[in-house]
Amino acid sequence: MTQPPAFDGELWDRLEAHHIGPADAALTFAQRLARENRWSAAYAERVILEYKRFCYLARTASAGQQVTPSDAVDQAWHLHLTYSRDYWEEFCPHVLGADFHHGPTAGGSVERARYYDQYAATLSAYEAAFGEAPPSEIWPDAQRRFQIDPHAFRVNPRDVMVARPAKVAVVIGIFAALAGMAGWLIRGVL
Amino acid sequence: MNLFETWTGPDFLAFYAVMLVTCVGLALWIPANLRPEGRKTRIEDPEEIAMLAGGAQRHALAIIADLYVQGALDKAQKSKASVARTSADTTSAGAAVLRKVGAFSVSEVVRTLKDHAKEIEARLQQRGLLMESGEAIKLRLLSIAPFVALALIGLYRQQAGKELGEPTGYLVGLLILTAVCAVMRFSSANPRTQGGNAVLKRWREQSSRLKRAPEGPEVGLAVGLFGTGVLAATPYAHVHAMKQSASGGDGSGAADGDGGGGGGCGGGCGGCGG
Repeated sequence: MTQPPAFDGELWDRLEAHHIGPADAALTFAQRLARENRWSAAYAERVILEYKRFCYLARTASAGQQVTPSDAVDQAWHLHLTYSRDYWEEFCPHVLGADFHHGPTAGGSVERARYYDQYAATLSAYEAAFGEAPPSEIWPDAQRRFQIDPHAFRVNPRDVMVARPAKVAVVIGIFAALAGMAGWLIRGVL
Repeated sequence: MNLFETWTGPDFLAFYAVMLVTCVGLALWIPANLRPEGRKTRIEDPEEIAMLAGGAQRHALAIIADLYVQGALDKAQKSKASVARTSADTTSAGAAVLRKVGAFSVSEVVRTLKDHAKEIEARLQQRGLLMESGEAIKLRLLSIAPFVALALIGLYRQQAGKELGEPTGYLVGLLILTAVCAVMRFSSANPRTQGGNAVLKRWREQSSRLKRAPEGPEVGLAVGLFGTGVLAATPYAHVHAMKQSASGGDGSGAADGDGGGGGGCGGGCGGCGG
């Protein structure tokens, strides 16, 4: 069994200290991340921490080994890439010390297997590097990661109504109960 | 003399329903608290862990999954597998599977590995992790005893009511429900000792990552600990489909992905500096 590489404290210190985007912006990176994903501010901050851990794993992976993030961490990565000046001129050269390119899947079963293997290896490397399993609410199981999360798409709530299925079921149930009561009362009156 | 002659039918039905709920509680409490203590012997062998977690079928599935990951088994029909190559890094149980000819199902592998499973079961019993078969049957019978007692009372009342020409349809329905509860409790009994439960719990806690996305060599242990559900949406989902089929499902819940290319992305820093 191969030993995990020793923890690179200097790299982690740099990653932890790095603030993405202008510190004095009215809308910070964390706030934008929370807004775009409808997350709480606290959850967005946790995702950013996990994104930094993911970047650490990418940097310390053996040569040629790629890493695959969870969907939540991927959202942080996508957004960071749009802060292109910070990402390419500050973060990669001075914090990470290497270019870190994003590569989406080309599709198909071979790619699916490759990304599953990379995701599993990333979780394993996470546990080895940080001494704990990745938090399941940010790093979910394979079924959620590869079968459910990819169905997400961008919507504008002004154009469509977005509701959780459980909430819809509750509302329908309440309406059905009210309709039943109304029918019973009307029948009594008539 | 009718013991319940002062009770009306609805009175007895209410009493029976309350007692049935109490019996369900007892059927959960008895196996949780009255199983033998056993010992918390540490085990490391994935086959023993699989046997402890889910018996002979889980043991067989863990072997199948491990061989499948190594490429020694391949898909054959919707819910079967066949040997792709006879060499693999495996145990004597795995080697027995690799000697099989043609396509086979999970239940056929369970039959092939029957003696191996019995051997492992005996070892786990000796180590105080599984109950002896006599103890296990005693606990099962004890767990369903409240249902049996209640059903006898209900049957007595039903016969008395029938003799008096009273309607007993609802009571018969509750008697059937009682029988169903008893059968479910009897068939789903867990054969582990308290020590066995504690050892399995510790393994599951320390292996929580394997429940989400095990790496290839970890798949056998992951299936042993958590079942084939961990393989849904992985490249090894066919093993989950085999299990679903063996359990009476059609395996359709174990699609090998979303069919549309799936999600995923990655990146790396390899080769870009030291």
